[in-house]
Amino acid sequence: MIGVVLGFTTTGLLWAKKQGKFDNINFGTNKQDKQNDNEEIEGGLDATTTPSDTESADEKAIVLEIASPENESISETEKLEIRGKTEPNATVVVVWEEGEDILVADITGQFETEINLVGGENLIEVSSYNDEGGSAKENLTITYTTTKI
Amino acid sequence: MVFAPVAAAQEGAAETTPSGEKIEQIRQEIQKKVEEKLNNVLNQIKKRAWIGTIEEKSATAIKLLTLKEVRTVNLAEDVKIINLKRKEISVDDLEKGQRIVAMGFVQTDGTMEGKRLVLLPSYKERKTKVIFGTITDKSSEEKIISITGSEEKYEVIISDKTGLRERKNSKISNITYEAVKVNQKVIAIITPTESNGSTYQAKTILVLTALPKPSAAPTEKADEKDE
Repeated sequence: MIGVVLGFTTTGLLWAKKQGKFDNINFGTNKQDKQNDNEEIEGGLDATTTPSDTESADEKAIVLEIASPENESISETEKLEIRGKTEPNATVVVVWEEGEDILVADITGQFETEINLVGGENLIEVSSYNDEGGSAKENLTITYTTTKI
Repeated sequence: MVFAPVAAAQEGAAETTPSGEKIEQIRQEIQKKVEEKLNNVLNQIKKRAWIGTIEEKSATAIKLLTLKEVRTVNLAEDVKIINLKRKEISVDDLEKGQRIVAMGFVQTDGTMEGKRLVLLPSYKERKTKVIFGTITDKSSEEKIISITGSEEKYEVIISDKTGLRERKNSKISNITYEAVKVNQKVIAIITPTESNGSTYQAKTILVLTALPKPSAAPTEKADEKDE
């Protein structure tokens, strides 16, 4: 009985759609909405990049995500591990208060390095480049203190 | 007779009520301790340091202008405020425009419970730059190269302290100045020279050696082996 009712309902809906009964109802898939969606994606770079600190050269943005540490976090140790993910085999440059390092992301795009912090404020720049000149950059601000908060 | 066991059971239940209350009390105490522990763990996750300049202040809170936005730091009762001379001061000693780092716990409403505020020196923009470009000129007399990026051209001085490296596949190795050639793609870490703002000192130059494209014809590979 239920099956019969469902069958009739489905048939009725399909018939109504064919007849254009639902044309005036907005399901959110019309052209204007699609256009707006596309603009959001283009305007915001690609969705996989982490937020507003990402910059690109020649509008050839590539993926760069910092897994660790979180921006504005507090480190209780001088040594800090930087881990992230970018384009496979990209060249990654890390610049910190008293040093810099150049490394190569692996085949999955993962990379990691260890840096030394100075007491207090530390600005860390992580940038990634592929062979075509595509790039991305992330800035991290990490505070190093041994004082218990 | 049917109800006797029931009555007996009810009497037994009445006798266990006090211990039931005790069990409930213990349960509540455990729950309280678990919540405290959980809060401590969550606080560790949300422990943050915000750096910015003071926009507004009151006896109990300050508004901090960070790079992204104005944020509110509510001062904890036991907040410590440290000046540039590492001396403890009071909130009254803080002034608008001072640069500070506020450390504490970010709350669910986006504000911070500030536990420790430390005054910072004025912001100094980092001069070190990372550039991607192509070597367009190399001096034969001095160790100076020109690197042309997407928007700018850099005159870069190479000294004995400059790290010269080459990337082949996934390996990075050291190279000599002679191996640095025009038309190579490079990533360079540079700083402006003190005397002249238009030239730069190279900290590191990484030459990106183009990988040979795989050959489609098997006979070409045989030829390469012979060579």
